[in-house]
Amino acid sequence: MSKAATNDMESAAKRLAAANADAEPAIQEIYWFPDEDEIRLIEIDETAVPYEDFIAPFYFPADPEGHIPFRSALAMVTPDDKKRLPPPEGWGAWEDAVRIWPEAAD
Amino acid sequence: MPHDWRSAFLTQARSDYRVYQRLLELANIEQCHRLHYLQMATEKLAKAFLTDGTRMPRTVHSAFVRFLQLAKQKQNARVRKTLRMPSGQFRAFLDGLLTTGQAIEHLVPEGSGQRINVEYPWQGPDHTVSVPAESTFELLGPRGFPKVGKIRQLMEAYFQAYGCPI
Repeated sequence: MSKAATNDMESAAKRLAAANADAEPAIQEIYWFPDEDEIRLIEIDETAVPYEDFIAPFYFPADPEGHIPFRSALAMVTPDDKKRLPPPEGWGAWEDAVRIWPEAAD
Repeated sequence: MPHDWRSAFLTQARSDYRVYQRLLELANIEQCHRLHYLQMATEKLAKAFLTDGTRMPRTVHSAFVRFLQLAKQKQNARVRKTLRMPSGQFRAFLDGLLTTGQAIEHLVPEGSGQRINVEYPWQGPDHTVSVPAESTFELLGPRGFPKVGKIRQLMEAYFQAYGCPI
């Protein structure tokens, strides 16, 4: 993926993460798993329904009107889920993810 | 008609939902059957979004509640437009549905046979065996009506927005 395309995807991921955090005050952190085709986010929320043995994301089409021009794959997990379970298959490891919200202070 | 997995689940969810609507029109039908079809429709609608279309969705528990939680955040413009709701109102609308969504999911029988459900007889704490067809469900009573009505509005908006109008 070109650097420009990566930047577009990252910008859209940040917009989506910020909007989601604004919509759900219980979200503590949001992790972005970079991918060429879709925005992949896992949101850490202690009010989420815990997963049993694997994390299954929900897939949403691109939403150009909402300024999210890429399709997205989102999962909401508890802090304990994050400790116990790996990311969805094909997403890599937690260590590969970028904490996209809240953004680290400079 | 060829489908991808998402469209297939949406289409079957719509069909379950249509049966639910038909059952609402029938006077002499036990409540459990109506709720059973509503529950199946919600489950399949949620599962339609547990796939990008290329793979069969995985089975997860509480799929509909998870779906409602994420729908709130996604602020899906197509669905909001169908409901004619501004962003804040849409969030509040979805927030108000979580408890009812959970109640609908709990209508599914579980292994021990001790949970009230819409399909199989269960045994209560006092060892009395109850039958779904002879039971009343608060969700379909006057107190549950407004919330179930909103779940129906949301489902119909999703069907409309994703090409499966009722």
